[in-house]
Amino acid sequence: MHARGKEKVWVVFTDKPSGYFDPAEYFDPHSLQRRVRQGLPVFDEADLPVSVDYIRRVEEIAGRVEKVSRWLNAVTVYAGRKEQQALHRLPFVASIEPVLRVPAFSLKAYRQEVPWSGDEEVMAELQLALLDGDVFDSLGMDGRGVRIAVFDAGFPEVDKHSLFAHIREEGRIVATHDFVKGTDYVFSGNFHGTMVLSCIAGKNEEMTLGLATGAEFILARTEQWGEPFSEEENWVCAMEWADRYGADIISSSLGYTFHRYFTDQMNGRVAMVSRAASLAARKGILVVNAMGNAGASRWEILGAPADADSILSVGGVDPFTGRHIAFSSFGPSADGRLKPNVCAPARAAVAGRRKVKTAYGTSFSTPLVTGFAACVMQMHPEWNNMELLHAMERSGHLYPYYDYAHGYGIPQASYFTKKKEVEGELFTISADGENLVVKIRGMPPDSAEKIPAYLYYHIARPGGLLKKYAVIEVSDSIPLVISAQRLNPDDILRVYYRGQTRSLPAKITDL
Amino acid sequence: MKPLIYAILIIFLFPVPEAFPQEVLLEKEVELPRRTDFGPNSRRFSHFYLGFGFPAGPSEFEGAGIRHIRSKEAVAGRRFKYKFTEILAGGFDLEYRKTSFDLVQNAEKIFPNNRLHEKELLILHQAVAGLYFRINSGERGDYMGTFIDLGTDAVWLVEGKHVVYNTGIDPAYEAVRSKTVYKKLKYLNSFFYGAKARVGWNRYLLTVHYRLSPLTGEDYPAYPDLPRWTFGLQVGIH
Repeated sequence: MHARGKEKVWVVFTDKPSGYFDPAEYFDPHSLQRRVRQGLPVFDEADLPVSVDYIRRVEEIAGRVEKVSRWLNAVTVYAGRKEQQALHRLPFVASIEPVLRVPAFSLKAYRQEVPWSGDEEVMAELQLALLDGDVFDSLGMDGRGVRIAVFDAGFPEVDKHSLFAHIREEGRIVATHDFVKGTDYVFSGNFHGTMVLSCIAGKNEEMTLGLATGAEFILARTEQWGEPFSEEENWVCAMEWADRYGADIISSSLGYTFHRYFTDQMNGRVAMVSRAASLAARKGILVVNAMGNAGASRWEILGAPADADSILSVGGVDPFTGRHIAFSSFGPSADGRLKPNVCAPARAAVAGRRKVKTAYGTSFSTPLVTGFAACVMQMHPEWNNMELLHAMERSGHLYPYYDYAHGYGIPQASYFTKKKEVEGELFTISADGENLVVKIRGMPPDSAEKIPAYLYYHIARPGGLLKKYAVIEVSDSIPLVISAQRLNPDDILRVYYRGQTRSLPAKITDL
Repeated sequence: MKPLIYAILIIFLFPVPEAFPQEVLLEKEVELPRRTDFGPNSRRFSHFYLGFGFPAGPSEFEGAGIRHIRSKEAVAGRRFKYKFTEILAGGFDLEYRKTSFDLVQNAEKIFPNNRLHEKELLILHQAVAGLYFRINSGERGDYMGTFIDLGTDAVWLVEGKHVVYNTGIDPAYEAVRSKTVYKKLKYLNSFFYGAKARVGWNRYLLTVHYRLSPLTGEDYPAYPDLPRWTFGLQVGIH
């Protein structure tokens, strides 16, 4: 609350009366190039400015306008009950909605059972190895030419930290803005943003923490208190700003859950930030967002804007097991869409104030995937954002298998360079009386596989929505027997094991 | 016949599981989220809470003074909440409350008598049932938010104890310090009631309670009342 009885609200307008707009003047050339490259219109109605007359009329009633959103065709103001009623009566006001100012994801020091030596160098190697980072390295792919916008709580020491020297020296921080203070200085605030950025592009002589060390960056501070407090209006405005400055990818480790919403509202259509994220996707930007760290809490599922359609939502895995890490939020979205889309280590080596340290959270899975996406974008500049998103999904180590803890799995760079080696049939699914039996053909040697070989299975409804999924450790030649009595005839059993996926209808007679 | 009965029992009590996996590392049944009746900002909610507080304010007479801060209160209970509108809610609390008054030892002391001790406590174990009315502020999700509670409670004194500590007692006991507990204190009322107010931020609450009826019975007019205010902090477990 700003003053007694006043709250911050969005005033959403009905239309945009035509006015002067020159895209060449408004947009950075990189933004126009992105649109042209993807065959999108140079601008659309969402890019047009909000009516100056409407803003003036709102200011006459409620005082100073705080923020203006072209995409939402809305402004934010502090307004009391009477002022809101007066605003409602204006013929060009479509709706008035409260501005969210609530805790976002919290960054907690989650601990897993696997002991850790504390050697960050090994951790850094592992987090990139799980994504097949060597493949991009050998091809010279480092995200060069790709512009990445990072939204976070501040980026202290990015202007002097050795892990970002290569970015500074080449002048690859192309724009910065603090949406909290309204200045362009972002090198203060919460260190979280610095940690996140290091997982995209951090590098020094000893180690490399992210894959897009050659990318350009747009840095936006959108959160006032770091995690946990933030304001959604900053995030929405930062989206528009990032689009204007030519962001190809937006990486955000922010999310809203129970403080503002109910789980059934996580459908991509309710939260302002989710709607803005979908709009960014329609403008050709790949939005990469963290699923959240609520997996072990009562909320359990993803937060907004990870629920948005057409964006890449990233879940977390333990880098030592390649499996879902306990705190990573689960999917699907409330309307049954697959989330997360992919996953990545949520326990990662990141920039610390003095030295590299280990941090936990899907906040760090997200930038690792962002760096990956930048390398793919560099390899395939002809792809639009949705082609890139689907390619990222197909590169998941579990693909075409999926579940709501891992999505399609950890993206693999090797997917883009070589054909998948076809091994012999590693397992079979057969009917044995009333049961479906999964049988492993020859147990694998105890080799040190990059991602440990677990057996994943799910039972899907005809439309693809899962009824159940599980991960089991294989220590026997028959790791799974499923009673077909418990399945509907139209259900599909799908099993993944060591790179192979097989699926069968549950109807025994169909086998 | 018995084996057949056992077999039938086994079939019904231990139905065929859906799967016989080996070590299950992750297993999830999928249900799309839907709005339920039960939750911090749903139609009904209940949760446990813990709290502590400090009796405060003056006693009725100087001769029944308490040592503040050393006198304390602990509560544990379950709170039931029913949402009426986005702003208004109400409910009831069922609570165990332990209040310990640390009585001042000075020449004016008259409660519960004029004898002086090294330390003297009046400990009340109480069962409490309370009603409250809640005003919430701001639009929110499945979250308790910020609120003010106003309410009243009825208290049943389950047990009152008068405990005195002394040193330098009769050497025949071969002890240096003694603790004497007096129970079934006739001068205390069995029932009393009070009013309360709370300010809450999600699970954290600041509380203030005022006892409206006297602690000591009408049959004991010479017994002054102890402080009626209690200020405290509660933590909701949800």
